[in-house]
Amino acid sequence: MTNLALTAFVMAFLLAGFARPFLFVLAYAYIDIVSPQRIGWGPLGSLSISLVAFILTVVMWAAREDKRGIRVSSRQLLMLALLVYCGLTTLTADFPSEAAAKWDWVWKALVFATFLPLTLRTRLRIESLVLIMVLGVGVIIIDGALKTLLGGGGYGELKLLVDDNTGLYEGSIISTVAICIIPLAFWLASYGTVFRPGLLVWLFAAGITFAAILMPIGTQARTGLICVAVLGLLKLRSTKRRFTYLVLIAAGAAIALPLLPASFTERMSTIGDHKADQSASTRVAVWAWTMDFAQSHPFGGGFDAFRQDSVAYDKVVTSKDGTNTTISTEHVIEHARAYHSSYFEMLGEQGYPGLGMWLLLHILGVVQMERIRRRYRVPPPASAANPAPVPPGKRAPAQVITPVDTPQTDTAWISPLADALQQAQIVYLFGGAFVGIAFQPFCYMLVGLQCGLAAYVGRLDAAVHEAERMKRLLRQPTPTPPPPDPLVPDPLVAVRHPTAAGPLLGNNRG
Amino acid sequence: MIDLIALVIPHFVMAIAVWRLVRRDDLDDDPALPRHDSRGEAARNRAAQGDKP
Repeated sequence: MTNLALTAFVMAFLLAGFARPFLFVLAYAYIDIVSPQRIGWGPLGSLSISLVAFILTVVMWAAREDKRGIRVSSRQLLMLALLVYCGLTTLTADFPSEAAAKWDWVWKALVFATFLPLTLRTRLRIESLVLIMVLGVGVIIIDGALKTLLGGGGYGELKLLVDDNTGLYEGSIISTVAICIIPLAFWLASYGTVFRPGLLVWLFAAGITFAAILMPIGTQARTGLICVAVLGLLKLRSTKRRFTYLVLIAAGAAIALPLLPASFTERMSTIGDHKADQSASTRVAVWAWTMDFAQSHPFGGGFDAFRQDSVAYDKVVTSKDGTNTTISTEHVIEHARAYHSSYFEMLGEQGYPGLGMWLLLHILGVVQMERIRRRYRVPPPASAANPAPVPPGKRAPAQVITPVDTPQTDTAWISPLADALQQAQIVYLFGGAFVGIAFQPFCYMLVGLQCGLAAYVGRLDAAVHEAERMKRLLRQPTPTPPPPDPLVPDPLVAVRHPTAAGPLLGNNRG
Repeated sequence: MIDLIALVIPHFVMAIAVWRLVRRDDLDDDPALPRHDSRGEAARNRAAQGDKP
């Protein structure tokens, strides 16, 4: 029954795309995030539904979308350059078959992220993509949160809808992504137009946030806790009532800490001392190996180059026997351990050029969102292009009709969205330091959203400037003709009557 | 049962969202931006000639 319902939902989503082609973009985003084909069976399981949605998205955009005024930004070009570069490193990869398997989904993520801003032409499109991203992640985290609350959590034990723990269903990755969507959920609750702000919407956003915060607890992923701390600090910057915010955070922590499972607090305590934990020790050793590897392979070893690593380290083991505590070291040797860091993933697989492009892509995103955030923080002054709000019960002043369609600008949502996208990206960049998500499609959707917002703001600026320019042109006084010279006779003006010859020919109907 | 609840809630909200999006004109034409379609161009041409749009 669940499988049939999921299949029907996906089919209905795709059918809706034929009515409004942009819905194919949303359908692809939904499929990429939720992976319903992994949850369901039958037609969804056997069909590459993701590829079908992708092809439909591109074909319908090419056939039916308005493509006037679209521009390709520098960050989109950067993603294209990264795509080409990754393609080249795949051709020369140290592990060709494994690299080809990763390339198979990486190229789609990069192409879609590059393509996405071209489709985000309206505010509603931007909002609807944010909504689908939040709800898509919501499918996974609501499941995880409910299981955590019922005591089903634990490191490597929390089962999220599917049996395998790849993609967004992996504990550390979903912990990071879950925290990323918190600012987006609150933005939707404040400025959404599909679901207008209201009690139910706020309750849902609060529920999603609670579920997101439960993910690091349920998965016991230390990365998630770091992401929560980073987001807490970032929110401190954007919140208006900082003292109230700090009091609420402190009260929430005081209530939650005693309720946390002992296994969680024990695992989180290893954040500061990596030598006592094998997983953390492995990471540090793999990072050291990657830096050495990059010295000899400056252009990287291609996807999955970590398979050739061999790391050795001493793990500190503490054992208690009654009142005696014995500390000893254990020599551990491991092979083919993953990077556990997006930065080292890029360095090892794509070398210095790939790491440089990836860093530039994200640093530019943070800077771009900061510029938009600051610029639209204060609403622009009232003008013909941006009329002042009219108090209730009073009539709006008469407006001059300009030759261009006057934009009715509501820009209050722009700065908070730029803020939310920036926070999501910074959380991703911090979380990415401890988990290999350099090519995670969800994160590239965030980048695509940022590019889309920047392009939208550019179009909005152009429209407002055009309206102002036309207004100025209309206000310019027209040159008065010189007074007639009495010595010069008026010129004869020949007026052609439409039926001048009628009465002469005798066909006057009167 | 938990999986079912987790699937139903967000999918129900998504279904409502898609239903509403299909019916929204501003999905394709943003009111904050000048229109680029033929109606917009015609209106601009009429306004340039001094007629009412």
